This record gives sequence, C-alpha cells and structure tokens, in this order.
Amino acid sequence: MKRLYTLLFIAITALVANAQTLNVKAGNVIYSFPASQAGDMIYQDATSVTILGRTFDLTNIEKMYVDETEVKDNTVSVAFDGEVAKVNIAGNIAQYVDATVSGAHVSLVQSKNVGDDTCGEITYNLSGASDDGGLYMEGSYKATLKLQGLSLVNPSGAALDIQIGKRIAISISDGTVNSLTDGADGGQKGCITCKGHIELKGHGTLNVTGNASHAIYAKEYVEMKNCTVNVLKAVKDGVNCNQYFLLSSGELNIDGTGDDGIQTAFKDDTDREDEDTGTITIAGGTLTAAITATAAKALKADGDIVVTGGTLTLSTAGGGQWDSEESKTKAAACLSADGQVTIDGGDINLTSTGSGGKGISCDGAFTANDGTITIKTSGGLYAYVNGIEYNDYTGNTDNIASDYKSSPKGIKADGNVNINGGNISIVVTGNGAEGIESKAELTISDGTINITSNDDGINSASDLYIKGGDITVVATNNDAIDSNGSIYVSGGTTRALGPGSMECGLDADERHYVYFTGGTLIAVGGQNSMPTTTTTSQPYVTGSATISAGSTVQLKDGTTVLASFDIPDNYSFTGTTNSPGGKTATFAGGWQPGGPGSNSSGGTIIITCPGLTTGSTYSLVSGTSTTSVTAK
Amino acid sequence: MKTIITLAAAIGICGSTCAENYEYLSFQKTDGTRISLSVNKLELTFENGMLKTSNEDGDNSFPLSELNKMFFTVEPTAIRDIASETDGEEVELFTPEGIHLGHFSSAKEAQEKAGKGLYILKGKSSTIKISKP
Repeated sequence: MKRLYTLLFIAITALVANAQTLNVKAGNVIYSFPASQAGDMIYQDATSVTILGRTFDLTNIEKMYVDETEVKDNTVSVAFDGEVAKVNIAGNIAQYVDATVSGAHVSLVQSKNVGDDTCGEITYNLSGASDDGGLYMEGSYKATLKLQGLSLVNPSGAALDIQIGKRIAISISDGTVNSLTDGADGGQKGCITCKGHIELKGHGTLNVTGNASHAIYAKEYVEMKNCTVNVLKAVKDGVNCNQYFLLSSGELNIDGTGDDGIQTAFKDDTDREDEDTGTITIAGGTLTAAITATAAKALKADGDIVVTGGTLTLSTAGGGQWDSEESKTKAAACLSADGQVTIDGGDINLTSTGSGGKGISCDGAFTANDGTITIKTSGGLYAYVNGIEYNDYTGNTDNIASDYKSSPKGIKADGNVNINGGNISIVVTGNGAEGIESKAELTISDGTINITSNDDGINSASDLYIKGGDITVVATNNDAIDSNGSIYVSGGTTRALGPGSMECGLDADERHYVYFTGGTLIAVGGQNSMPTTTTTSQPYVTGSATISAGSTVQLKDGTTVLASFDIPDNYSFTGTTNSPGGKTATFAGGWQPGGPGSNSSGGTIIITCPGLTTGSTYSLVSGTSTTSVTAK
Repeated sequence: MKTIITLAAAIGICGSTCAENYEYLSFQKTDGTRISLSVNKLELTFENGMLKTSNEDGDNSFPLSELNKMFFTVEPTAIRDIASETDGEEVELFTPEGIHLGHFSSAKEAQEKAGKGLYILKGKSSTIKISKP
C-alpha cells in the first residue's frame, strides 16, 4: 500500500514537474511566459516580438531561455540583492506592468488597463536586502505587496513609495522579519508612503524607521490586523493618515517619534465620504506607544477615538508649550480627540508625566461603557504668564485665562462625561491635577471609579449626576466632587473624601442645589454642600468624627448597619489649624455652603443612605468613636 | 482507499491540465515553412538581424526578416514542413541517439527514405529535430 502511494505521488509529481516557461530577459527584468499560455508569439518587421500582448523591442532583449520555472499568474517578484534588484513578471500580466530597474531602485508602473475585466489584482512579492534601494509604484488599481523577508534602506527617499490611490494590502509574510528605512533628505511624507489606503496584515514583523517625516503615511485610511509593526523612529508621527485608523488585531509598537504616535485627520474639509471620519478605532490587538515630544499625543484624532477591545499601554513625557501662532498653551495627552472619546472595552493604561499632561482629552463627549482604564499623571500645571513659561505653576490661577494654562488631568472633556460601566482608576498627583473634568454635564450611571487627585477629583462645569456605580475619590488639595452646577445623587455608592479648611468632599455651586434622592454617599471635607430641606427626598446626617486611612466609617440604627464606608489606605489631606494634615482627619465643623435655604447647622461629614428617617437618631461610628447624629 | 481515490483524482486533474508537455519551440517563417527546436537547454539571442538559438542539439540561426512567429508544440515539425528550407541542400540523417542513418541530397529525399519516427536532420545551415508521422 505504501508503495502504491509512493508510485501515485511520483506520477503526480512527474505530471506537474515539466511545465516549460519561456523567459524573456531584458536587463534585470525577466518576463516569464508559461508555454501553455504563450500561444503564437509574433515577430514584426524583424525588430520586435509580441508575447501575450506585450511587445518587446528585440534590441532590448538580452536573451530568451526556456526552463521549468513555475510561474504564478498575477505575480511580480522583486528580489533586492545589495546594489542590484531583479524583477520577475508573470507572463499573463506582462502587458500590464512596466518595470524599470536602476541598481536596487525599482519602479513599477501598473497599466491603467489593470482592472476587474482584465487581469485583476496583482501581487508584488518583495524580498532580499539593500542599503541603497527602494520601490516606487504607480497605477490606478488596487494591489498587494507581500513582504517576504525584506530589508530595505533608501538613502534618497521612501523605502516604499506607492503612488496608487487605491487599496494597498501590505501583507507581512508569516515568520518573516522585514525592515524599512528611508532617507532624511528625500522630502517624502513617510518611510512607507501611500497615495491610497493601506491594509497591514499577515503574521510577520515589520520594523519601520522614518528619517524624514512620518514612519507610515497614507493619504487615506490605515487598517492593521494580525501583524506586528514596530515604529522604531519617526521625525514626526509614527502613523499619519487621513480618514481613519483601525487596529483590529496584531501588535503595534511606537517609539522614538518626534511628534504624535498615531494621528488621523479628515481627508476633505467638506463633502466628506462616509469613511472620512478622522477616527482612531482600537478594536483589538496590542498598542504600545512611548511618546516623549513636547505637547505630543500618543493617539491624536481630528474625529473621535473609540476603543472596543485590545490592550493599550500609552505614555507621554513631553511638557506643555506655548503656541504663539494660536496664542494658546498646548500639552501632551495619551488620547486626544477633537471629537468624542468612547470606551466600550479593552484594557487601557495611560501615563503622562509632563507638565499639563493628560490621560484623555477630548473636545466632545467622553463616554465609558466598559473596559478597564488606568490613568496616572504626575506633571504639574503648565502656564504662560507675562511671556514666561512655567512647567509647575503654583501661583493663583484664578486670573489666568484658560488659553494660558494647561492643567494636568486624568480625563478632560469639553463635552459631557458619561460613565456607564467599566473600571476606572485615576491617580493624578501634580499641582493642579484633576481626576475627571467635564466642561459640561457629568453623569455616572455605573462602573467602578477610584480617583486620587491633587486638585478636584471629579469636576463638572454644569450639573453633576450620580445615578449608580461604586465611586471613591480622595482629593488632597481641593474638592473631592465639585460641580459648578447642581449635584444630583440618586444611586450608587460614593465616597468623596476631600481635605480640610475651605475644601469639600461634596461641593455644589452656591447658586445651585444638592439633591439626595437615593444612593449611599459619604462626603468628608473641611466643609460640604448639603441639600436644602426641599431639594431632597432621602434624608442625610452630618456630624464630626476622626477619619483615618484604612479605617471604616459606619452609620448605624441601633445595631443595624445602614451604611459602611471603607476609607482608602491612600487617604490623606492637606491640614488646617483645626485639622492637622496627614492620614487622620478630624472634622469638627466649619462653613457648610449649600445654596439658598440650605441647612448650615454644622458637621463636615455628611452621609446619606436608604433607611434614614428625618428626625430619627443614628450612630456615626468611626474607628472606636461613636457620635449620635440626627437625620435631616 | 479514500487516499488512493484522492490521489487518482489528482492524477486525472493533472493529466487533463498538465498533459501538454511542450517539448519543442517551433518557428514559422514568412513562407509558411516551420522548424522545431527542442526546448531542452534552449536559449535565443538577437543580433545583427539574426535569431540565434542554442540547445542540446546544437546551434542554429535564422534571419529575423524571414520569421513570422514562434510557438510551443508538443510534437516537432514534420519533415515536409522543412522541405523547402533545405531544398537543394545536402543533409545528414541521424537517430535521436546520434546514430548516422545516411546522407541525402535533400530533405525531401530523406523524407521519402525515412520510416516513421523522430530524427535529427543536419544540413549546412541548421540542425533540427524532425518527425515523420
């Protein structure tokens, strides 16, 4: 039986082995015509011969020879070898591709006749190595470039210069490591430059160095899946494209950039096509970017940033700067969108260490529905005052216009902030650093949020809604939760721990109100905003107690625990004459703003929870001390 | 059994698509005559208005001005196709193994005298592989 299989296999091999091919060699370009396809090869006037639609000038033919080369239709192979490159073109597309080779610089021009009705898409297999070589392509139909262990350095321009305004698939062959480097003085927009849109795929690895501008530039969108792409260096951005950027899977690592990691812009100012969204979407895979340039962003979008999956590890180290052209300060951010930022999943780790640096910054709304977001910022406040740049401004900022300062923040949105789920952990330690800021409304409906901030933990320019979720805020130098509008608490569990003196655990604008209609909340601070007698349907208590890091504060009705709050281990505050700073705060009264008609009868600990009855007495237990409090 | 059937089917497919084993490159002149050359180690160059060939059987050359087309064939050119090419030219006839079969005054005489089969016909200006059906 084994012998039979062997004989059958040999028979098959014999049948396919002898496939003759006529090779027409013109310099370093070989056109390979399978004998089964060649047909009649017509000689004209003793000066030319036409084979499969391509006419060869006989004076340009070095030789023709017949061998058993296997020819794959619709394929062009380019093999770089030091100072030379050799091009092999399959016979069936010979009439559709013109090749010019000068040393190791290859120019391939796809005929305008390439299309669905003729030969269809052509695949270009690129391999070999050269320290002075490059590939230039022209055409008007989509194409696939397969990198099969290619190492290319072009001292005079782009390594891959693809002037085809269509879909260009760059397939990085499995198991191969490819390397592309461009020249510093060529004026090209990228080491890989594409007039159309790029789809990076395959399971291989591609290293890109951009010595003139971006590492990868596309005039239209860039999509990436499966492959590993390492931007080793870029004078400007790692990836710069128009329309949109999509990471579906694979690994993208960006380092050594002189500007942003990934930047997308709108292709057209008006009459945009559907795909021209200016959006960066991370749907899967792994994205790592370490950005060091001043005021640079890891991800920068003219449109939105959407994260639905994947693992992002982004860092910025650059400080703020004064933009004299726009007359405003600019600062670094890990995610920066002129539109909205939406987090629907993924594991996101953001670190920003420069002055004014932010984790997430958007001109539109910020929405978190799921995923894990961890943000750390450590830079101070960047300010431009009287022509002087400050990287850690500690003076009074009340009279500094917003365009002249950049505060470090975990999340900043000019639009609404909506948190509907997910796990958010923010630690922002620099001077003036806020945890989450909305310059509009802020709503928390669900999710787990932990914030440690130097300045306000959560801040909204307009109304603030807590409808659900588990929220812990520790602010060391300003309010834990601060609204310039009203505060509505209707659900969730909230621990708002502020410092002493004039700062609050819960602070509503004095022209607005605090509403307790549900939920469980403790607010600790030098003072707190409290509801009026008419703005709350859920009673609350106020009192005094010693609060210690790592301790537990409880509100009891007899022996029944109505509410229990674990004080975080990292709790600390800036002290006052009444309340020394450190890990233990004793709150014993102070001013309690609460809007018109507020109850200002004392107590800088405020607790609201279900089960309270107005006028009833309860026990406020903190550590070993117990205080009697009356519900209002 | 499944494997045998699969392999047999593969042979069938291969047989139908790979059956064309083109062993000759045939040249048709403007006068209609044809000459076939074995593709084994075949090389063609163009120089000074001539097509020069080289293969396992030797070297040949043809004026480009007399060439109409070339094409791959499974069988070599028949003797009658090259009769006018070597008209009036003495030829030697050999088997493919190189056994000398005779000297003839012309290719036509060689055609009349030879039986069916493959031969090497060597003239003054060319050496070609031919067949007599």
